[in-house]
Amino acid sequence: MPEQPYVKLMLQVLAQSRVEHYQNENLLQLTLWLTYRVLDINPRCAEAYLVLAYFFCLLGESDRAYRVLLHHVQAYRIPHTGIDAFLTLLSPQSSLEAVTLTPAEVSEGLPSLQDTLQRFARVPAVPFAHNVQVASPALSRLAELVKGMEA
Amino acid sequence: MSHEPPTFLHPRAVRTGLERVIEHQRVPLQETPKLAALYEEHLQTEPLELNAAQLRDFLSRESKAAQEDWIQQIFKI
Repeated sequence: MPEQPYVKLMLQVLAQSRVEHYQNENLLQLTLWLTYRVLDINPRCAEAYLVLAYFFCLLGESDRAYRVLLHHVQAYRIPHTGIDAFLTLLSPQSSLEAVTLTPAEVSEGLPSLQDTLQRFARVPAVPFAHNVQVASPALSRLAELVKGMEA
Repeated sequence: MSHEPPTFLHPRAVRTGLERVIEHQRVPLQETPKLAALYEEHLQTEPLELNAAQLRDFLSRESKAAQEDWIQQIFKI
C-alpha cells in the first residue's frame, strides 16, 4: 500500500513524542502532519484514525475520539482490532462500567449502618399529618389549576 | 446513511486541533493507564530519534513539496 511508509514514519515519530512525554512541540506537529498526509493518500487508513483518536484522548476529548473512530467503522466497515479496542474503551456504555464501584469502594468513606441508625434516632420523627398540612395549600392550588385547564 | 467526513475531520477543525496540540502547555497531554495499555498494544513502534535540527529543518519548509522532500530524505535513512 502506498501509504505504508508514511504510516510507519507517523507511528515512529509518535513513539518518539511519547518517549519525550509530549513535551516536544515540533514532534507533535510532525506527527499530525504525517497523520493528515496518510489520510491524503488513503482516507480509510485505520492507523491514522487511531492516532487522531489517541491525540484527542490525550487532550481529554475522549468523546471526540469516540466519534472519529465511530465514523471509520460506519463509513468504511473495515474490521480493525485496534479501532475495536479503542471504541470499547471509549463507548458511553464502557464509561458507565468504568464508574461502577465495587461494594468495598461504595462503603469506603460512608458512615457505618450503626452510625446511620443512631443519627436517625436523634432526628425527631415528623408525623405524616404534619407534612400533609404543610403541603395542603400548594395541593389545593394545583387542584384549582387542573380544574381550570379541564373547564 | 451519509458517509461524508464529519466536521471534526474537516480542514478547519484539523487546524484548530493542531493549534491546540502545539499550544499544549495550556492543554496538557495526559496518558491514562488504560490509554497507555491500548497504545502499547495497538500503536507501539520503535521511536525514530529525530534530532532537533532535523525537526527545525522540516518545520522551516513552507511548501508541501519541500516538506515532502524532507520526508523522502528520512525514508532513505
